[in-house]
Amino acid sequence: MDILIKQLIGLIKLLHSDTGQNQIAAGLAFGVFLGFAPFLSIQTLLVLFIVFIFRVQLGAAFLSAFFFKFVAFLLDPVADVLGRWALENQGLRGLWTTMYNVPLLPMTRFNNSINMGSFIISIILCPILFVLFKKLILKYRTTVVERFERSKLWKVYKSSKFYFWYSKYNDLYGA
Amino acid sequence: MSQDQNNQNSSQTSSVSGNVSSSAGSSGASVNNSSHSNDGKNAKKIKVKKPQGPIRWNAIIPFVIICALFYIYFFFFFDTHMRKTIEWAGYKALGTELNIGEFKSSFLKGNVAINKIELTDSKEPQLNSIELGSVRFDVNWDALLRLKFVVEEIAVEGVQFKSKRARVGKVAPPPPPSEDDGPGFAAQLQEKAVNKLEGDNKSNVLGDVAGFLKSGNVDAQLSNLQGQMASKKLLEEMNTKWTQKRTEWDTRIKALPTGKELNDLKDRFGKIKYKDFKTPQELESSLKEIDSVVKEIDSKNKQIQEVKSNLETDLKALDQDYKNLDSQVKKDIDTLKTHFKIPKIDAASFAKALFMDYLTPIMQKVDHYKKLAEKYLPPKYAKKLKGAKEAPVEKEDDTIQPHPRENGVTYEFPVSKGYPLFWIQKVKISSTSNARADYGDFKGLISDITSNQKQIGRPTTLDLKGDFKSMNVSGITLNAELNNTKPEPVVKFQMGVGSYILNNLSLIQSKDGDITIPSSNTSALASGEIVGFKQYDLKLRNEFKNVDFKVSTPDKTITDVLNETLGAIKSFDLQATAKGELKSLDIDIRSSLGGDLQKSFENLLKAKIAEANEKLQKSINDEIGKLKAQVQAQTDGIKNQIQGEVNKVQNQVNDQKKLADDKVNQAKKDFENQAKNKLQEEAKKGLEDLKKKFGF
Repeated sequence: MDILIKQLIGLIKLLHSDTGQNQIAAGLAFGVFLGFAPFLSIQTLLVLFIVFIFRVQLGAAFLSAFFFKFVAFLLDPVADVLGRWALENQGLRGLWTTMYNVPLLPMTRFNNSINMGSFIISIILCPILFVLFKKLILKYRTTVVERFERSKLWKVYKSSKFYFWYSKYNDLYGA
Repeated sequence: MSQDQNNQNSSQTSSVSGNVSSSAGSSGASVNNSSHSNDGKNAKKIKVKKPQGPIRWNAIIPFVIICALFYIYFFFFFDTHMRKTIEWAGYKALGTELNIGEFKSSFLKGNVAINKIELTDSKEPQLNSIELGSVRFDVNWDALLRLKFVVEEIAVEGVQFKSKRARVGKVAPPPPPSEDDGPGFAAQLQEKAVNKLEGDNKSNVLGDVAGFLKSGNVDAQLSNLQGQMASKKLLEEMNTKWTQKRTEWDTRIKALPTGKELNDLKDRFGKIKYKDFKTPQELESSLKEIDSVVKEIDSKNKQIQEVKSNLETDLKALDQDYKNLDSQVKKDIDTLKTHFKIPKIDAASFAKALFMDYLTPIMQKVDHYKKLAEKYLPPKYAKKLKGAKEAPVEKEDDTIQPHPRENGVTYEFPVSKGYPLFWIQKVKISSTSNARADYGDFKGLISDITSNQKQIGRPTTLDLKGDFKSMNVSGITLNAELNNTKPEPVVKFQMGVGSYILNNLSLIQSKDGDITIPSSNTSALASGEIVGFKQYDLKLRNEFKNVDFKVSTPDKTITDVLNETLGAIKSFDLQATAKGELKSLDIDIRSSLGGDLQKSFENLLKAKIAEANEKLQKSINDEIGKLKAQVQAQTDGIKNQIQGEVNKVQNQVNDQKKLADDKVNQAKKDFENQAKNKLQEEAKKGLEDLKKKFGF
């Protein structure tokens, strides 16, 4: 829990800095996979491994996973139809049969219509959302953050002793 | 990430110049000033953080540490924990202490070796029921990656039975019998093999014979018991019931349509005009009248039908009451026989009485294993074992098709290289005695223990042969097959022991006498077939050779008869069978010893027993005969008189109805003929007029 809160604070900080939009966007995009895939599955473990090993913003990934879990729930009927279409497609039958007989892959439960449909949706959404989130972050920084930083309230806060000591502490011990 | 790097560089520049205070996020790469630029203390050191690459190295170290911890756990602790888990699970499952000397496993090689497995004997906890020297097997990695457990071969060596334990083993107390437990094999044996009456299932053939020889006179006591006969009570109830019924029926018969009423209807019919109608109105009025009478007949007919249906129900109940009475009379005779201890002098009864104590522990063992199977078999088979009725299932379709699930549809594709969830391909059992331990000399093979026989297309088979020379046991054979590839699972087995020494076999042990066999050379062959875990066909054949009987009874006559009979017998057999569904097994026990004893006792007691049986039958007949005649009179009255009366009225009503139908048909026909004639006349007249008009 501590790590999760730290990561979320990190996300807010990063969002308000000038850097790391790729990390945040990647985190949010990977969150789509986590949200759409079953909780206990090999693909979830794989995505978690990638998210942990590569410098992807974890807070963003978890936040996005949390949000997309609800979206996935609402999109289950669509995923079901899409999954059935893919799994019943005669042209792909050979591929599915091979995958069904290969070690590890059946553990992804790809042969379930909702899992397959959700996977297709997340594959399609992932790159789109990556680009979209990146643009949104930049837009957020140029409009919301800058406007906020120009506000009198922020300037008063920034010139306060509290802010001085906080920034000092953050420089020394902050993540 | 390259773009990210550029961003980081630009951030670094802006931070250094002091335009924006930047505080990097946890994973962000940025440059920080050690103090704020507004202070104007430019001399202070500027701490520059290195730009971070795409890999989170600080996460890899914990990951490696976790992997190392896993390795350490599996290397140092896993085997101990597995050993303890198996011991705990074994105790919980089997109810006796299970000990494992050593458990060794290699995760990378996928092999397991378990040494010195000891299972405590529940009856003699200082001994093991079975001890296995070592069990070794390799797990198939390819299957494991498919989340399937497949073992190509398990080697079991050093098998010992009844070996001595280092310390007394723990035995769990027997579980309380649950209410939904069906009758077990042992209970059914007790119930069916012995003449179980009035809760006395400990029939003692010697005591009965001796007692009967001494007294044999049933007259004196019989008169006291006559009033207590259940059949008499039943008959009294029947008498009350059917007398009441008779009165009810008399009332109902009176309510039926009388002859006068039916004659009135006949008269009404007579008055209705049914021919020579002059106008359609006349016809209509007649039909209306006929309709009204027919309706009345129908209502009477309905009343009779109802009475008839009630009568049929009562007659059926009457038949059932008579059947119950017959069965109760038989029970009463049996009860009296037991009361007077009239022995059953037939081979089957002797065999049952003699071998009950010998067979009961065997059946108790079968019950024990049945309960274990119920507990651990997959639910669909366990239900069958419990005798629960299954919902009718459609024929299983082998084609691959989607199964609807709660979430979506899960498709199954053809399995070209798949494994069942659990599959042990071979278990090789081999054991050779040595100077240190009597492992027994035998070899065996168990093949294809699996969770899905249909997938592999082979049944599970067991084949074992061997001897335990030091225990004088030779010619052990065990063949079994569990075939679940068919719609109904079939279990077949054959288990034999060529020769073993059976000591101190007690056939009868009671205050009335003992019959024991100090030692005999015995062979046993048990076989069976269980279809669908419902239909049982079990057989046991024992042959006892080199037999010497030891007889002692307080009655000299009995002792002489037994010594004379049994002294000549040097071998005999025992054949027990149990067939049918578990709830109602047809159990039969036969032995050549029973036949021999029958012949001996027949001469001694036959005339006396026949006389006593006759007296009992007569006494019952006398007691219930008068009452039975009364009931018979009442019920005959209902059967013949009432039934006759109802049929008579029914016939009368039917006649009236037929008459009504005839009249209606006749009226219709008559009117049709009249209309036809009239039409012909009109046509003829019209033709004549036309002829005249044209001057023909």
